[in-house]
This record gives sequence, structure tokens and C-alpha cells, in this order.
Amino acid sequence: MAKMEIYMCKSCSKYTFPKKYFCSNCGSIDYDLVEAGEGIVKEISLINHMLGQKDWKPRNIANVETNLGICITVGIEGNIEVGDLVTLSSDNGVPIGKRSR
Amino acid sequence: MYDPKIIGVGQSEYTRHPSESQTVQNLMRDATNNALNDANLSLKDIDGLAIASFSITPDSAIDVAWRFGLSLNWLLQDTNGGSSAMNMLGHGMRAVQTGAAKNILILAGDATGLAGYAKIANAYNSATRDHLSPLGHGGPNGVYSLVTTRQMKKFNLQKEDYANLLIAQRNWASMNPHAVYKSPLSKEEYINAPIVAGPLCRYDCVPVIAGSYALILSRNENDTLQKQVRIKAFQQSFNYDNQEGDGTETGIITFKNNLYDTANLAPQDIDVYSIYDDYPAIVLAQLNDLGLIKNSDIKNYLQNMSNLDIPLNTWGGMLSAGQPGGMAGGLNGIGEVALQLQNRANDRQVNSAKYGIVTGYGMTLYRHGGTVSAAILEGF
Repeated sequence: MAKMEIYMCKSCSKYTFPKKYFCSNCGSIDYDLVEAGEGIVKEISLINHMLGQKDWKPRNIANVETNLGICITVGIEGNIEVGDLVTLSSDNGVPIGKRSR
Repeated sequence: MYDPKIIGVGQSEYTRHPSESQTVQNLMRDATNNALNDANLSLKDIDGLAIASFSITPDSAIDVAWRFGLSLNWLLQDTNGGSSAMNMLGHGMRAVQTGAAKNILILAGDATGLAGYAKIANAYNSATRDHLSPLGHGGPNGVYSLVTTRQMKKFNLQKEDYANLLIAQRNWASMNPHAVYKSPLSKEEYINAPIVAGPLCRYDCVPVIAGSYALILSRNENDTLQKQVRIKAFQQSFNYDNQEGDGTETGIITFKNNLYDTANLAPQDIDVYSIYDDYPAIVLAQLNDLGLIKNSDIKNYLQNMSNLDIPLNTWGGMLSAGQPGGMAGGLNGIGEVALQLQNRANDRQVNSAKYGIVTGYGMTLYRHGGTVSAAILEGF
């Protein structure tokens, strides 16, 4: 697992994820990567069924408001509830959240 | 400028389990035949073709023109999913208005099968492929489960509040001979249905089917019809919020006033509406943005819609009649309003319908759909 990083416009500091070709605020094309280490769980969905798969094991996804203020959709490891603080990491660009201790 | 009119509609059989011969091309052929018969035209009269389908690859629009024997002045292939039907209607409208084409066949259909649909859904765009599918988000079900939860919080809705929308659409579907699900749905069945992606249950997720739908758009009237249908107003919005909103509003809020002002009408003048229904929450979001829910009181609106009093998705919508791809499903909604305004909707007919609204919504980018379109149609 790597750090969960999102993109910050070098010109106007607006955060975005996934990366855009132009900053939607100022039109700049240059970004810095900034760690989004934690977030608050806003909504959770238990995915019970996956199209085309019979041996699917249910798993949670969640909308998380990161400590940088933007919301991202993350996969969840372990049990969580709405309002929990989660630690964020990245699995090859895929955001993963785990309840913070 | 010519005044484009919808002069014919037609569809193929809709089926959950297509036979070997029910390929997307054959289904499109059937829908085309029925639309041409309805319009009292032949293939030789068609000089424009608009087509949308996820499952005609490796063919494209020109292949369909060739295989159908169509010699054309105007050709379009649209790839905007749930907004494709409306996109094709808009482009076709302008083509007829300007004389680029006289008679346009607007055609959509899909026969992906469940496995094929899953493949499309999991790589719908690069954001989905790279950042959502690896989570096991379940395709659009996972995206709209989160949107639905946000809508429930924002409007103080309970899961069971949504039941009436599904029950009403099933009641309408019972009068549509082409619908794949016609039997009545009870509130108990809805509440006890298996959860697919919480809070969405089986009935909240469109059933993927095989099928095709076609419209004929023309500069001329159809003399065999007692009433004609024209496009009174047409508006679209693409990527209105850069996916930074919560999905409980749609791009309709950017054009609602223009839509009604162009038609010189108000929400209360609308007699019938086909609202793109991939998920109940998105139907409600569009209705609310169109000013069709009084005081944005969605809970009260839902409490009063279990019977047939509200002329919403009178063909049963995709949620009951089936989703033959979002593209053909969108066309079905347009065709249904045309039938209503022409007084041809049989058992489903809404009394004295003169104006109807049709919408398209789609292209889930990351957190919600990025496209939305709406038109006001007039019967005369």
C-alpha cells in the first residue's frame, strides 16, 4: 500500500481526484501530489451483488470526505460506520480506507 | 426552417433472455420495420440515420446504413449512454430544421447479455476502470447507492418511501404489452426484496434486457395520424458541476427556466412525463429540478403516487419494462410521450394530454451522471 495522494493545482491550489487535464478553476495543467491521509465516512454501501459473478463476497464501499476537503469513493477494509475517521491509503491508485485507531 | 415532427415509433420484442436469432442487428431491424410502418414510410424515404448502441461493435453507424440498404445525406453515431436518445433527438431536430435531412431514423438497441453489460459497466470510462471497479463497486449500482443515501439524508426519506414510485411504474407497465415485468408489485415485496447495493434493492436497479426502439423524425406530417407531435423546447447540460456536487441535483438546474420560457409554458402545464429512470433517486432528482415536485417535498410526492394519478413513465419505465441499453430505453420514453400526445397510448392513455416532458440522464463519470437533457413535446 502506498500513500493516498490527490492532485493540487500548482497555480490555484484547488484539489481534485482523479487527475484532470486542466484545472477546472484556473485552467492550469500543472499539479503537485498531496497526501490525503485521513477522512470521515459520509455514506456507506454494502455491495451484495456483482453483475455477472455468482461467487461474489459482499464488501463495503464508502464516500469519504478527506482531510483536504474533497470527497472520494473508497473501498473499506474491516468494519466501519458513518462518521468514523478512516486512514486512507492507495492500492495502485485505488483508494482504500481503514478505521483509524 | 422546417418544423420537425415525430411521425412514427416502433420497437422490437423486449426480452430478458434473447434467443440466438435476437441479435442486436435483428432487434434493430424489427424496431425499424415497425417505426417505418407507423410513419407510413419506406426505407427509401429515409435520408438521415442516428444510431446508438453499446453492442454493435465492431460495426458502426455506416455499417448499419449499408446493411439496412440506406443511402443517406446525414449520419450520426452517439455514445452518450442514457443521454444518447435525447442527444440524437436534438441533433436530428436541428438537421431537419435546417434541411440537412428530411426523414431521420433515430435508432438504438442493445443485446449485451448480463456478462457483456458487466464488462461495459466495469470499464465505462477511465475513472471507473481505474478508481471504482477495483473496489468492487458493482457498476452504477454502487455509485447510485451512495447518491440515494445522500438524497435520503437531504430530503428526510426512508427506504420504504421509494416503494410507491416502483409500484406506480409497475402498474403502468401492466398495461404495456412489451414490458418484461407486468405483475403488480406490493410494498411488502419491495421492502423485503434482496439488497443489491445498500440501500438499493432488486427493484431499484434497472433490469438489463435485449431490445431496440426507433423513432422517425420528419419535416412532414404523418397524414395517417389524427395528431402530430413537435418539439417545443430542447435543452441540455454536460458536466455542469465537475463532479463536485453530491448528485442530488442534476444539470437541469442550469436550463430549467430556459426550457419553460422557450415553450412559453410552466411546470403545471405539463400533462405527461417520461423521466429517465435508471434509478429511483435520479427520477426524483430530475422531477425536482424540473419544478414538478411542489416545494421540493419529495416525501409527500412519493406518498401520493402509488396509483396512476401521476402520469410519470407511463410505459412502466426502464425499471419495469426493462432497459434495452440506456440508449433505447431513452428512446422508449420519448416514443411513449409521443404516443400519449397523439392519443395512441391505448390503456395507458392520459386524458387530454397536450404537452409532455422527456429527459435523458447518464454517463456516470465518478460520483454521478455528467449529462442531462430535457425536451417539451407538443401534440397538435
